[in-house]
Amino acid sequence: MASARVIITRSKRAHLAAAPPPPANDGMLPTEVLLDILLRLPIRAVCRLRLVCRAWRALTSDPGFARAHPSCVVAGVCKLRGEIKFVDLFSGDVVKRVPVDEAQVRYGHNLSAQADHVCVVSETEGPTCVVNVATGAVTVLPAAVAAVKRAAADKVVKATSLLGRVRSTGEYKVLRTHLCRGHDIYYHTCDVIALDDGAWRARPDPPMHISGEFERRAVVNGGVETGDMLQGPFSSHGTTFNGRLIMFTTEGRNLQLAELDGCLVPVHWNAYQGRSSTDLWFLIDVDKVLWTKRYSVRCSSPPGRKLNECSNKSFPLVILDDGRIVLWIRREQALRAYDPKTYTWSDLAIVRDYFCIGMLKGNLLCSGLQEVE
Amino acid sequence: MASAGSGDEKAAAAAMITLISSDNEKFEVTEATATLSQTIRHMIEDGCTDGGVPLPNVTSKILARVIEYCKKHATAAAGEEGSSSSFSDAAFLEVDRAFLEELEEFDDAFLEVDRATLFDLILAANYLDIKGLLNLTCQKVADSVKGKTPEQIREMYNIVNDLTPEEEAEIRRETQWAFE
Repeated sequence: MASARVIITRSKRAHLAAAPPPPANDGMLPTEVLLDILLRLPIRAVCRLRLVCRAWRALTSDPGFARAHPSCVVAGVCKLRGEIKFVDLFSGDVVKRVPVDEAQVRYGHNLSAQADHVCVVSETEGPTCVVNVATGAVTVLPAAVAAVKRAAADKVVKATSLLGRVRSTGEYKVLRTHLCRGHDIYYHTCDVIALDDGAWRARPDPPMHISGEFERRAVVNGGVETGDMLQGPFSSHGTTFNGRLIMFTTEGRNLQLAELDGCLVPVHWNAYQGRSSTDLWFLIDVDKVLWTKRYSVRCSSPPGRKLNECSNKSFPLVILDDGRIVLWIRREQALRAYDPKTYTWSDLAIVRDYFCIGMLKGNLLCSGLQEVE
Repeated sequence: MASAGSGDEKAAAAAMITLISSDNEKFEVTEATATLSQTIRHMIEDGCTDGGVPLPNVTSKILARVIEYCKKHATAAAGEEGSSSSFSDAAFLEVDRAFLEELEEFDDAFLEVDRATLFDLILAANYLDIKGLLNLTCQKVADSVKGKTPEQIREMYNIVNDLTPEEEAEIRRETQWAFE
């Protein structure tokens, strides 16, 4: 805990703690008790209390402290103002705002997050922006290039982007897929941009028809996976970009992809005879393509409302250490936790006026701190 | 509180432990109460509690409060064990809930102490390794610290600000969002 007292920042400024701090103690409480207390504070309070003295600053800037701090932050694209808000899951407090006027956010915008970068994704051809959460710097990606079309007269109908991160190098890349319309055919193309590089590069076309829906995509371990519904009876499949096809069967049409616990998770919204649930499927055997419905989240219906009226579209965000699943329930503008052991819900926070909500993977207490690999 | 008895009496009350505060006051408590402290639990397991357990870091005033806490929570723990097998039984759940509410009220009242006492309780809970009490008291401090400014904190805890103006500016710059 006390070993690495270097504050890591993403900026180029070589910033190191100048002198070793004095014993991290206010003279009355042992360090481990002080740590225990500071770990209980919301992140905003922790950051403000770095101004108390060097010892408190050193304690709360330690990567070990940041990892131990139970903060869980979601990022949301705000409907009212062109900004990304970061909301502490447990207090509902807005802990940070980053204006993204450049992205001209409007309905249909989505958000794709990796480590401490967030990408604001437009479903149309509007600008796509990547925000460095630590510095607040916004990078506007260049517009789509003609190279993705097979013929100059073809039209890009829809483009969707996803932020990925190369695990080995920590490099951020955005993958964009395009649905293009030729004179008698629709086809998909994709290109990739590295954030530090600034130029789109055409990539081989996806090996299959992929969904244009943002919700049917997920980034797992830095790579991008897409899922696509077949219109046939109750089956769907997904594929990775390295071409491996994964068959996936479900009993309904409402499907999205999510990343939970580092796994690609098809999420199936199920409504049947007045009962509704959100089913989370996990791939338990890659070779045998064996899926299991690990969680079936029962619909939370507010009191006084009939079950079949309640929105069954809830988006899983994260599985907490205590096993509860945090979901964003869009229609109710709420973040709730579902306990699969007791089948009960608990309210976490009200999140009004967001186009979309996503988990922030990075850590606001210690920028540059990556998720444990 | 009764002082430690002779050997004969001890045999009669086999599950009693004597705790000795720093000012040499003796407290006799049941083993169930004492073993809420991991430190004492280990001492009992090692068989070194004969003649009482000296606690040179804890005054009689604080030890009395700690024992008060442990007695209440030892009863609670015993109650929990008894009813856990009937988890699905609604009546038992009802009893559990009433008991938990009572326990919460006890905890709230228990924390109505001045800051110096609270800190002494924390130190005792830390030394005796009583998880529940440490959790309770640390949360109390965290709640009181939460809304305070750095100046107020320094004043409360007699901390000297050893940050240079440059360092302060740097902290504000690093997490500007926290100061808006």
